[in-house]
Amino acid sequence: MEPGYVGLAIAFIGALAATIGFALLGRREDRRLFQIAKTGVYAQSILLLYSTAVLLYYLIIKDFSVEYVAMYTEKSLSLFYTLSALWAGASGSLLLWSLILAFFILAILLKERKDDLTYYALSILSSIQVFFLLILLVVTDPFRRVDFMPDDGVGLNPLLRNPLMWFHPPTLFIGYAGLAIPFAYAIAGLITERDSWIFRIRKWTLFSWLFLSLGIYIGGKWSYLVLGWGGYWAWDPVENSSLIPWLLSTALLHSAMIQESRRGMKMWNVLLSITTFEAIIFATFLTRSGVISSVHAFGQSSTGYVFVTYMGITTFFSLAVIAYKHDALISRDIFESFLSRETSFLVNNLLFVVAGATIFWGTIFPLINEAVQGVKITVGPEFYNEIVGPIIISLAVLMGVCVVLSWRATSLREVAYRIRKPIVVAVLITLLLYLAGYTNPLSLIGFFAFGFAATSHIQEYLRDVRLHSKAGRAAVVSSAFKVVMNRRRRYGGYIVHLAMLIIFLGIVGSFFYDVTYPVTLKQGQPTKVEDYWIVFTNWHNTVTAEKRVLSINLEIRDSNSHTPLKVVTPQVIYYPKFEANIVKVGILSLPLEDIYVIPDGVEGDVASVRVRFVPFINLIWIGGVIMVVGVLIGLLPKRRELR
Amino acid sequence: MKKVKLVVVFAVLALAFVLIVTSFASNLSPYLSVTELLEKRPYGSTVQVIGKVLPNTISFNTSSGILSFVITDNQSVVEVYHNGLVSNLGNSTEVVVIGKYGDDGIFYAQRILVKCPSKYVEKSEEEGGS
Repeated sequence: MEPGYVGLAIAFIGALAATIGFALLGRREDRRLFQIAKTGVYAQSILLLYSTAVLLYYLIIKDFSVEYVAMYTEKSLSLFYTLSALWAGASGSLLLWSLILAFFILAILLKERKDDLTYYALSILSSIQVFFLLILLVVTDPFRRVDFMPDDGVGLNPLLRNPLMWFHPPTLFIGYAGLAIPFAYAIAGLITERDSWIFRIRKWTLFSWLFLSLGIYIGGKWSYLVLGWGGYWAWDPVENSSLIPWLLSTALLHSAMIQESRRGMKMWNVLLSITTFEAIIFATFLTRSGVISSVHAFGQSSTGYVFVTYMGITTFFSLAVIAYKHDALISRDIFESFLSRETSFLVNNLLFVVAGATIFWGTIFPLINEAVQGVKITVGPEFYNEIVGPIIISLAVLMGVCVVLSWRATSLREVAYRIRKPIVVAVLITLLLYLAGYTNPLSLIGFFAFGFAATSHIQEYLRDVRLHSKAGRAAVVSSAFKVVMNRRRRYGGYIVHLAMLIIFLGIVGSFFYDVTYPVTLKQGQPTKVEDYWIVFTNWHNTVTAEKRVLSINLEIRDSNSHTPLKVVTPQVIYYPKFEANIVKVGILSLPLEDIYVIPDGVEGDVASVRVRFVPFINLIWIGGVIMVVGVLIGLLPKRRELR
Repeated sequence: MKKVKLVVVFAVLALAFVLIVTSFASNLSPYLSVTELLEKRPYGSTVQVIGKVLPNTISFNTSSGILSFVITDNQSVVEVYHNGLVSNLGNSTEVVVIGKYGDDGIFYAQRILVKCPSKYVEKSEEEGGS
């Protein structure tokens, strides 16, 4: 028996014991039972850690008789990338998923109040663990041996040989696994008929949301730097599958506040938690089953059926619990006025869910179509742009309005009074950008939405600072800080809003004003592209056993002064073993735009490249950093208020 | 006041539904074989055509920067123009050209996806996602 496999088998028993033990504890406290269930949790965490360590050990010593090791590493692979092979393939990444889930379960056991709510939640989370371990044990055993010793492994997919790709999958998995927690607590809340589950999930959901966002962000950055054709987002099925749970969990973070403050939207929150969970299972399944490239891949591995069955079972189970406990979910109607914070949250939720549903539909339609009609078809990116574009603009405007709305009802007069300055500023910003040459009408709507919402947030902040400092509590400077620290939840959220608005501006700008010029450059001859001279100085081919690298050296010069700004070296890297080309773009990053050079090839003394000008792009990367800061402020534990 | 909720939900969903229905059909692009392309002649709309590159037809005009080659499905052939070189085109077994079919009988590709004759490629496609 493989020692790693034995570890998984014992972890499975531990998860099973925790599932049953905690389910029984939910009904009746029992010290001995608690010890058993607790041991089950510790056992699954420790043994999953052990099994992962065993697999890592095989990867590091490159024991190619283990099929997984042979599939994803090779002798010449560096240690750094050898470690990342742990999540390069289906079984390794499921193992990592399972390990992360185990640590979430352990953290809940240690941190959360031990009552029936937590017991049921732990039972449900452990049952998810049972499912993942079952797949690992029965369907995709990461420790499976081949019956001969290959000389060398196949190696790591060249696309994954990038530091960003090292971090992207584990970051995403933390987000995925963590979003099982709101699901578990929602069902536990239903079983125990306790509303307070909504308070328990906040920090877990927010923490997972942070990692999910970061995972998507890193993936976008990688795609921008490595996939020469794409840019940061291409509406690729794998990207889409990670965005769907992001949209749903973002909706959940907002609607949970309605339940916390106003005891409303109870049914909706339960449904959202369930859908978010199904979306993370869908995302895991879509990425790891190969079903994207063709529906025929579905039949080739049994993982597909297992995942779909599991989604069916969990949905059915959840709906059954809802049906049974329906009465506990009745909340009174809290929507009293169109102009209320509640209503703005409702619209926000509808928009997020519609966006998620649209993307889901666009992602699975080609699969359904192929299965039913036998015809391969793709859904063009324009479909997503046409639906999601208006939705994110509406969301940006909504963000600006919602901060001036109060609970229950706000008078139209009050709203008009408080949004008048933001509207003026937004008009000015739009006008300024229009005069600067950004004249596309749709983008102007985007600029307006950005200006309006950002100003509206800043205005609220300044108002709070003024009130705080006027009340004689502190000087303006220290008020500016204390206001944020006293109301961390609110200002954490506002900072994330601002970050999203900055990213939004980056997306609008780079989407509408990204221009690409296919250029043929003769060696030594400067060619003018927009305001820059580009000189193809030389090129060289470097051939090693592993890869063939074509590097094209291009000097980018300022058009007026002719001073060289930078030499960029876009590369086409060919891996013969994989018969795969990796394109590395060359980028000159300026404050206002990126000059982005995609290499296509060299023929004689002529280089063929595409030169893209991507304005506003830096805002996306900056926004991502601000987002992290905002979430961390929102996550800071409550202390005595700083007054 | 159940009214508020109903009105908001109905308005948002109705708007979204109209948007999705109108946008969806116009943005589906089918995969065609070369023969189907010549039969349907979908002038003006973006389509994706799968075919094999005839290796000796690849030529690159260094002054105009236009790459041209012929693809076939073993029944019919069509000439494809693309602005700029495409790396590794010669080694490919199958390509997907995305673009528009012109009334001059030439397919103007905006994007070209190269499929390599490797058994690992399908794997790399499924695992290379982002």
